[in-house]
Amino acid sequence: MRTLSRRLASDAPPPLRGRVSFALVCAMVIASTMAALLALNIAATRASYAQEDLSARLVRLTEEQQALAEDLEARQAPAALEREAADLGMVPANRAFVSMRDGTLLGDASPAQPPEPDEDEVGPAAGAGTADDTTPAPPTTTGDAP
Amino acid sequence: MLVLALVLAVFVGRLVLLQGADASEVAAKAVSSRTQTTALPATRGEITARDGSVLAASVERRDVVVDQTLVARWTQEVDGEEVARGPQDAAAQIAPALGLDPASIVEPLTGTARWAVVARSVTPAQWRAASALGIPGLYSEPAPQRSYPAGSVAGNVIGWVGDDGSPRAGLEMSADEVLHGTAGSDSSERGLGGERIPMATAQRTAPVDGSDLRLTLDRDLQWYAQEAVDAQVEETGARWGAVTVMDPETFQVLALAESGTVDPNDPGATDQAGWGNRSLQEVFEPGSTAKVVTAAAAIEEGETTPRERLTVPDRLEVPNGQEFRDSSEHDDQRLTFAGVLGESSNTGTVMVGSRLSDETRYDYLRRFGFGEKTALDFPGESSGILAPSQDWDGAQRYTTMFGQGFAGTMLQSAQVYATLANGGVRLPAHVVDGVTAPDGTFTPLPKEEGVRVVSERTAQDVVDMLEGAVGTGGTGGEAAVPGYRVAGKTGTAEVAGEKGYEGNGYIGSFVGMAPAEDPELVVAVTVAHPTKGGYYGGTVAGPVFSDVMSYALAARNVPPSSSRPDLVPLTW
Repeated sequence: MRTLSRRLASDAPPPLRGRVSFALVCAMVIASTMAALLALNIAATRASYAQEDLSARLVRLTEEQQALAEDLEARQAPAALEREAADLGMVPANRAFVSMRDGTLLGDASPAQPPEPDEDEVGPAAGAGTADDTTPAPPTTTGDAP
Repeated sequence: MLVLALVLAVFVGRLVLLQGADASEVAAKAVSSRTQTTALPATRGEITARDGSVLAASVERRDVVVDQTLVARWTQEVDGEEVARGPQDAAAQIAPALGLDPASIVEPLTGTARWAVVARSVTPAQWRAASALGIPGLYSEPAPQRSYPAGSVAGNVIGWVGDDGSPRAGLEMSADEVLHGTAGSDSSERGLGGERIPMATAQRTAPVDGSDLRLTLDRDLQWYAQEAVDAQVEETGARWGAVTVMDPETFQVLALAESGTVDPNDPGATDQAGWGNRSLQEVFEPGSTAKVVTAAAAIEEGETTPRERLTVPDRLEVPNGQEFRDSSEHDDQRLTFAGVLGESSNTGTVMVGSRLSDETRYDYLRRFGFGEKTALDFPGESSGILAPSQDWDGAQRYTTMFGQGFAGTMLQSAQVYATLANGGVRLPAHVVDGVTAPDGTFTPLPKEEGVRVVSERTAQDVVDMLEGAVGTGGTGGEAAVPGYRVAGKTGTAEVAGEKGYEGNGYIGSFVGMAPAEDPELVVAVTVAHPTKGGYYGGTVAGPVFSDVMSYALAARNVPPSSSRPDLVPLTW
């Protein structure tokens, strides 16, 4: 009879204080989980904004690089280089070589002359006019047209 | 009380419906309204010359558009005072940022339309400057553009791209598969400001940029050749001219130049007649430059040697009654076969060529590359006109011996000489060196087998004879290059018309190689329908050959010839 009442007494609900602290612990767990979740979410969103900023910066830098590359290619174009050279007063050189083996000069090593004023591009000195007597005339045919 | 309960019931009912019954539908709608899908365009590949310099590239540009209603309401205040308002003042501020005249953009800014174009193809930097002004209603749309920084250099080879981005001509068109790449897409949930919502559904397919095309063309040589032939066409009053430069050891095309080349940045500025590629599409009877085929065939078949002594009259009647004449009257000449070639004698060529059957000569013409397209695979390229020998009429039997009676392109003529320069082996001519993938790996064009056309000995004999054509007594004196041994041939072809060959003009050519002792370059020059001065190939094409060849030799560091030519005498 006495054991039963002791057992019954131990089956009784825990003291009010124990219950409260348990509930508190649970609440804290929940709260901290929520807080952590919130913090993570904030961090992720901040990172997303940062990514957007960096993407925009990347786009700007890429544009700048492309613009510079475009400018460079335009300046390197042969026609542009020729113009720049002519503006600087440069003159196309005669074609000469230095033979490293013999230490001799090959080709035309005389100083280059500026081109004539009315010929501002390097063109061939065309042999206009009638052909020489010594140059045989070109072949012709009297056959019917095919 | 009852009313409250009723209202609550409605709300609860709606909630149950939303969360319970329609949940997935509504959720899906929400996701789709947040999701933005943007296409990620692929960058079109570049086309570069052999040294990597850019001939064609895609650049960022933007079209500036405006909501006119917002501009109309715009005012600008400084320290509480109004300093600017409306389209006029907006134009005055925007125009300098875009590099335009204010008067030209007032009209698109004025009105009541929600969308109008203010300026097209402005650079991103200009757009940033304009947008920084803070004028409401100004937006930009991407408008990528193809740019050709070298201008008209190789314009007739590269082709161009239309306003809509689709290729219209040249390599841009035939190599489009390689260049255009694959667009990607980016699908993600976005917030109001466009930022991605993290941990939400997102799908991204990266774009695959196009591969770059590297050509065998030498950009500076191409430019130089274009300038040279432009000048000569103007000097001789010709209809057109073209220069082809090839490396005989690899059959790479180093320059494919023509007069009046189109600038791909502005194709409309050139007449449509100049939009093609003359070196590959103009088909004409090659004339005397093709005599080398007859010469090579005759030597290879053992029917003649360079030193064979011939007595060559100025007119020759052949068994079927046809008569052929040299260009000038002369007594019977005592020429060696080398002299026949060097002095470009028609009658001498017919005398020797007649020893070969028609089929044999046709066979050699085909093996040298006439009558079929080259390996360039260029859009619109012509295969030329070469009828099979059984279809040759009484005249063609003989005219084909000296380069009339069939027709070919400049590249086909250059190919013949490159074959001879390469010891008799014809390799596939090509203008594309290889392809560079977006990750940087370069894949060269697969090398194809060559075709042996004549023996090395025969090729050497022909080249030796060709040196005589440029020397004293030959027709090609003006093609000589100081300091170098040159071997080549002049050609002056009459152009066929409806009533025969008279009065249709001439096409003057010179095709040759240097240095003759070990050729490193083959140059072919053609000037069509010259009207001022002479018209002989040696006169109109020779000087251009000399100029371009000497430039090309110097650019490639080929030292001047150290040996003297050992010429076969032209006469006996």
